[in-house]
Amino acid sequence: MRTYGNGTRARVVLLVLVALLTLGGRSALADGAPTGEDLHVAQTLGARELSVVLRRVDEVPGPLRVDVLTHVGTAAGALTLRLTPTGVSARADGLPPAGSVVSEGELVLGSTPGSYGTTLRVDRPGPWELTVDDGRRSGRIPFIVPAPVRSPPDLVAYSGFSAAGGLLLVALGVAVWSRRWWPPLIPACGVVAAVAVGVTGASLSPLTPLPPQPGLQIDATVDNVAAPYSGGPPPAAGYSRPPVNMLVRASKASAGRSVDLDLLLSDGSTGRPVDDLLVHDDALIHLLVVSPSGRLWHLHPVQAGPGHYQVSLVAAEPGHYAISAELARRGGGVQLIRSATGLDVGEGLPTATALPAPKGLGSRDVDGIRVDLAASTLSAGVAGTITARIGETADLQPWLGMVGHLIVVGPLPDSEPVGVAAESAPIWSHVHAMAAVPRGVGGRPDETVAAFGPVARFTHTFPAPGRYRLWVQAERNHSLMTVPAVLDITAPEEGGRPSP
Amino acid sequence: MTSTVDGRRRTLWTAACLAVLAGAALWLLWPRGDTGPTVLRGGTTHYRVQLTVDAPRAGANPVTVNVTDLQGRPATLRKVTVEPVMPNMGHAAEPVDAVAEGPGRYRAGSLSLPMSGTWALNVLLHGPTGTDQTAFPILVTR
Repeated sequence: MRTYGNGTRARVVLLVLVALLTLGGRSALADGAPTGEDLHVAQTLGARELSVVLRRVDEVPGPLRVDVLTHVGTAAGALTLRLTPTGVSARADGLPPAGSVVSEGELVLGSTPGSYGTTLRVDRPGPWELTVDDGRRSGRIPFIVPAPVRSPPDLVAYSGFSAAGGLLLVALGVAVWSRRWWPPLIPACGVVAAVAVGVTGASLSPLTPLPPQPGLQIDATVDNVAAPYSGGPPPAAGYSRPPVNMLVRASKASAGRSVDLDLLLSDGSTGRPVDDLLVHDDALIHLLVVSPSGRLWHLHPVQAGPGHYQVSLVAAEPGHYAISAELARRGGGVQLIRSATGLDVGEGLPTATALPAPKGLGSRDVDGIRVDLAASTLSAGVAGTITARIGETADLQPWLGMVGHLIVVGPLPDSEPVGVAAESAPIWSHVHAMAAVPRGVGGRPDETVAAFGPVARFTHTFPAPGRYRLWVQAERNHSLMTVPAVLDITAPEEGGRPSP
Repeated sequence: MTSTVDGRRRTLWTAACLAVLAGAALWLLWPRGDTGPTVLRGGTTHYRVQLTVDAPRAGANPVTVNVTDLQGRPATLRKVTVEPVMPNMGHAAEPVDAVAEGPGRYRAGSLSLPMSGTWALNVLLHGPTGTDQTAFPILVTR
């Protein structure tokens, strides 16, 4: 009966085994791939407006590349960057304790706008803080160094299929060398059982809910970043936290001179300092300041301590300024906080002058660049589109990840200065113009990519009729342009959307 | 003769299979008792801090705070305060001052955590260089 000898059979089996081993080795390479993306954070540090980009971390311990992007007018000089782990851990790992600086680097900013970088080192996953220090002032940026994580069903699937592969080899080996018919059946049964385990794990894998996200939804520790699935169940009340109160303290302010603002954020329930702001739209806080004649500042205060943020600006003119802040706490939800007190600026340098009243729609010249503003018919309660054409070529840079920003404040009575009217205006809106931004390995491109525009489109529904102030913001040639405009919104016609 | 050998072998295999199954069942069903105290290690700019809560539960909890300087020597502080907060509920519970028990060892005998959930224990270290602060998230499940 037997046609082939034992030697031939053994050779064939060995060949099959080698083939299986080489095939099996492939898929495992993708395991534990680093997660995370670049983190972009705008920082108004002293007189400098910086965009700090923390590149994604590929391995821990390993390097962390930090790029600081400067703009036109950013002073040359040195910055010190310091990395501090902030997360607690149940394990004694022999690493430097949380709170101590583990990596430090110096960065020399040149006088030409562009990207200046240095490489620091992280030694553990979990929550960290990057301190950007210009010698006089420093800003702390919280971020998470992720760890490769597999969900429990994934782990079961990997183990099941690995065991099945191993047992298959055993079964083949036993089949070749055993003299009886039944011994190969034992590992073969094992293969069936292991495949069943693997298939169960693989089919449960997409159904497994994500664990609470450390840093984003819950307070991060080294342990819950490394093993997010071993924490407790998600809170029944959800992740969101109480609203924030903002106290604005200003140094003595006079026109034409720099004013230091201290923002003290406290929890609306406990009154404790708010130490859990998330980076949203590329900043911890977006601070909007409107001057008496309608100048706009869009600044990004730096974190000086828990719940304490600092920023400075050169007050352009005397009078009352309106202030608002956009921020997001851990647990989710962006809040708009309107300062009830604003900022009073006294008489100062005679060079400080008011801005003339801006034009409505149409074309104008801003810093030597032609800007065309156009709009569909705009009436209250109906979605309308405002189009800004900036220059002639697609050379806008993504500022805060967007092609353009539109700030809307109103309706404003003509009888009052803009700062006073804006403080009590019912509507402050911040509209974004998006673009099909290609995403790479580390996320989206930074401001060094000048390939967007020249048209930025903003679709917005004005809730009430009246006269609004608008500011269109976009970045070009490493310089932020702010284009002010006035817009009248008519009352809705019959047949429009019913008013609420 | 052969049938006796076969019978013995069958018994042996059955016993082995049963032993494996029993072992697996025991492994899976082994009662999980108290996991012991929760010990968390953290730090501030000036100190290493270790916080120990014996089996955190809703109600009164004894809390121990061990503080050393960065070189590992016990730190002498003017006062150590533990402030419990539930960040996502917006609850703050009464702060408790920890009493010095030994070198670098401070103990609050009864820290009240009124309900189960995720708490943050904020530890304030009032020392010669000012006040340092760090937060320890703990999960209270019972």
